[in-house]
Amino acid sequence: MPLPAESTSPSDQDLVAAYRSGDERAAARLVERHSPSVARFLYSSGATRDELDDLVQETMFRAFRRLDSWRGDSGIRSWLFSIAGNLLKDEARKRKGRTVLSLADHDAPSHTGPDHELEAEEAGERIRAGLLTLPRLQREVFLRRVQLGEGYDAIAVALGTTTGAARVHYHHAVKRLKELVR
Amino acid sequence: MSGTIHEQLQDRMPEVARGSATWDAAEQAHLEACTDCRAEWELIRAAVGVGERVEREFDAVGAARAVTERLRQPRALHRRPAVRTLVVLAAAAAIAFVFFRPVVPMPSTPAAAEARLLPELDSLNVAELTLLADAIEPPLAETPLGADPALTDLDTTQLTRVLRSLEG
Repeated sequence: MPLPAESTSPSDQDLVAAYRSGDERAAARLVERHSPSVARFLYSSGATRDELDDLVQETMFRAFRRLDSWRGDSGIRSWLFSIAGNLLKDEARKRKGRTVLSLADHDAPSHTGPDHELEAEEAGERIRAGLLTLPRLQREVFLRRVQLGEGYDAIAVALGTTTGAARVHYHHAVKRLKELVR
Repeated sequence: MSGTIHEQLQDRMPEVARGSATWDAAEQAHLEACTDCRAEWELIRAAVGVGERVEREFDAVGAARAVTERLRQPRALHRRPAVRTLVVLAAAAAIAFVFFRPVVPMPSTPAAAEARLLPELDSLNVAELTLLADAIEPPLAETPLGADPALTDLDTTQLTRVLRSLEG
């Protein structure tokens, strides 16, 4: 399936079909489109800045290798978040005994903007620190709901749980974060 | 009613914080009056921004280049760089072992020695082999001294001279 011209914005499904038929540019466009949000998800989930390039590449690479397991009914970004979440879990298992989710000073973005940006970044870092203390499911449900804008039904499908359980995880996460960042 | 709007507000917070929806007047009024909802709203608004800068600054083009390059490689090299290095080192060690292992001499059995003889002899028949064997000079140790025509032709005086020259 030929890739549409550069000026149009092909859907993820179109790009996947083009990649499957051998168009390498389609893979590149998918990575360019989704890797920044995967990086953000990984960072919010506790990956350090130094690890991001490697983890994002590995996530995208695994996705292409398992493209057959992507059901087109769920968004590809949601599917990529699942792969990224599992990758982070694997990394944590490999490093058991070590602090997995580092919040070293160099992880926080260096501030260059006005004061309100600084305040926002500081608040963001406090929330990130709080997120790292949450159980994995609570953290993933919260990030998917808040950053990806997914509904509970979609979250439940992506994480292999029920809609009700996803809702409960979200509310537990909110409650805990409110206490932590107060 | 307050309970309903309270839950409705909290449910819609992610969408409004991400800019894909807005508060209506009733929700806005509730938000200003409810301390709990306001605290949650501040949390969600800040959470939406977590990692925003990371996303903005991420080198997507570089990632695309690296991923497509990796996809182009044969499956054996699809592993992550660190794992790939280990695989390559292991493969190099295996190759080195095969090609540079110490040469252990083969046990020297008569059968093995015969097997190493000229293989082209196998094609000759018995008569040809006999002819060939007759043509081969016997080893020096097997040659009787007296059979050397050069020495038998010498007389006693000449032999004495030869012996003296050998003895110095």
